[in-house]
Amino acid sequence: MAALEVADLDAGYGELQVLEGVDMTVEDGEYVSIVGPNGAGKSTVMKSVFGLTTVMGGRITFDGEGITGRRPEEIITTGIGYVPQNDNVFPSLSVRENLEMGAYILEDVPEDRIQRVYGRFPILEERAGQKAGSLSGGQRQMLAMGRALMLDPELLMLDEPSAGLAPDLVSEMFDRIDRINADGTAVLLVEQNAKEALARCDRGYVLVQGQNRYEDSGDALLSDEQVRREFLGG
Amino acid sequence: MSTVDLGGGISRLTSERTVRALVVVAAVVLALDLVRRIYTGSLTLGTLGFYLWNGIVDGLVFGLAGIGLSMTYSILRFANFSHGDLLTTGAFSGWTVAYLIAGAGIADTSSRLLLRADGGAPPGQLDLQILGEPIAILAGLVVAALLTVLIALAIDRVVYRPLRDAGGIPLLIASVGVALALRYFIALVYTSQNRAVTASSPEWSSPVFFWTEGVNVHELTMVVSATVLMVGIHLLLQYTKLGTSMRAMADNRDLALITGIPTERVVRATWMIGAGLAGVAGYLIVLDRGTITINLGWFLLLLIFAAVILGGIGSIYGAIVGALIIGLTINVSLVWIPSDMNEIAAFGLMILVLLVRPQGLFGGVETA
Repeated sequence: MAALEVADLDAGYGELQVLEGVDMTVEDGEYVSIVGPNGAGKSTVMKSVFGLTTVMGGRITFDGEGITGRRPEEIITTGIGYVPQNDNVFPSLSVRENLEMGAYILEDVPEDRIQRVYGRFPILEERAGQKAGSLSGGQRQMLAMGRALMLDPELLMLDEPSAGLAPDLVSEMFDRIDRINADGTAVLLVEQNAKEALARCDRGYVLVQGQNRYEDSGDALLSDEQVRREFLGG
Repeated sequence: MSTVDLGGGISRLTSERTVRALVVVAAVVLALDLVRRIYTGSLTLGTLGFYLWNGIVDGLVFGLAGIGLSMTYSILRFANFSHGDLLTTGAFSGWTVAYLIAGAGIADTSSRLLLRADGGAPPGQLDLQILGEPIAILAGLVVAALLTVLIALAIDRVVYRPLRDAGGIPLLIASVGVALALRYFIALVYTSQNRAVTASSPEWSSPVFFWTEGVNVHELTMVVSATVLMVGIHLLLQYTKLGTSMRAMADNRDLALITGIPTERVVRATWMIGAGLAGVAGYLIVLDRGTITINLGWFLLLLIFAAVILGGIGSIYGAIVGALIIGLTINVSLVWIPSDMNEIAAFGLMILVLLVRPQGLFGGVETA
């Protein structure tokens, strides 16, 4: 059974249509990457799943339940976590408060989940009382992921987690994503760093001008002559 | 190109330095003059203490009013020009209740309901001061907060909510309309006549208040209430889930939405706190002044804005500190200038601070 299924999706912002007939699936526990040139609509796919765009046609289901056009605060309860690309932490809140906000919809602060996030990202425990605004780019990215993991999502959507990171931190970030996926969380990843993203994922989509262009396993896309020439710079 | 930039940079740097130097020189001159005046006896320590005390009283009440203004700015993202009239709403509703209770059996119900619109039973006859009618005054305080909250929530539902995503300018303009509508609705009910509603305050002499023979109990009430409420707001914002979510929403509304924070509930809480404090501030101002008028809040709004901007708009701590500075300035400046010009000193100081620190004292340090 497909966890996330996007079928024939037309979506955009207000009058502006960005996506045209996009099809996409993420199976339970699968790791899927979306790559493609700037402006292809990669982030728009995620935003549409999370109810942040205007859906003009098509449907989105998660665990068999239709979530097309639902509001973000409803979608978060279905088991999807989302980490946007920019401004993805609350800068004036402490690291711990950011995590607590991630679990806002739960009755009590789930101490065990906070500890689990600390276990995954030990630097966050060291910085627990510090304001998130004082963290480095890589630490912020970890905090943003930690916040999204607070509800123990079945699917984690990450929008360009490597953007703006120093090169030596990029592969570390991808390792962390691998581990989150290995622990059973499905991952949908949008990346500029296409080579790395395709090398790590189970399956990949190449999106061009708001439409599906290629879909295959990550390795197959990486070795495809045409994909290499067009999108991976040889 | 680079020389032009360099030149601009240098002239900006020097002008900033000039302003700083001027501020320091002015402060030193004023301080020396203050010492001279005290030494020669043209200013007594008692008078200076009186000015300082009044400055703290004014500052704390402005701060109470400013917290709500700052919060609506940071969480709802607009400058609320109807905030002053929320003070007026609190003052009229609260004192109506105080009158209804304290004036029972002394004045007609209609006269009490309309807060002496007919000129009946003056406050002295009711003994309407804090020690004479403490229960009536406390009940008025509670109603001032509650009714102002209800009015603010109703206005939000009807006016601001449909405009939620319209941006700061349409919301600001709508709030000017709300200010006028609210004020003239109050005038319609209560008439626009300025009138006395509280009896003069008793004095309390105690060695704690070493600088004066006796302290005005009404002012003491204001200082205590304002301080308690401010500490309460601080605890709420820093240590509760609601407070944390308010700070989160002030930081980033979109992120709050996708984190699952119920943004509309946070907006309601913001109005409840901001309007509640505004209502209490308006009520307490009347307790001190003794008279009430429909322009009460509107005339104070500019000073409250000055305080909030001086402190760094969006920060409640900035609002409190800014308000204390403004309060102290308008009172201590009386040493040098006549009382009908003392607001010049307050606004002048605000301009000076903004020249040196355009984001305000606490701007960019702490939101909400």
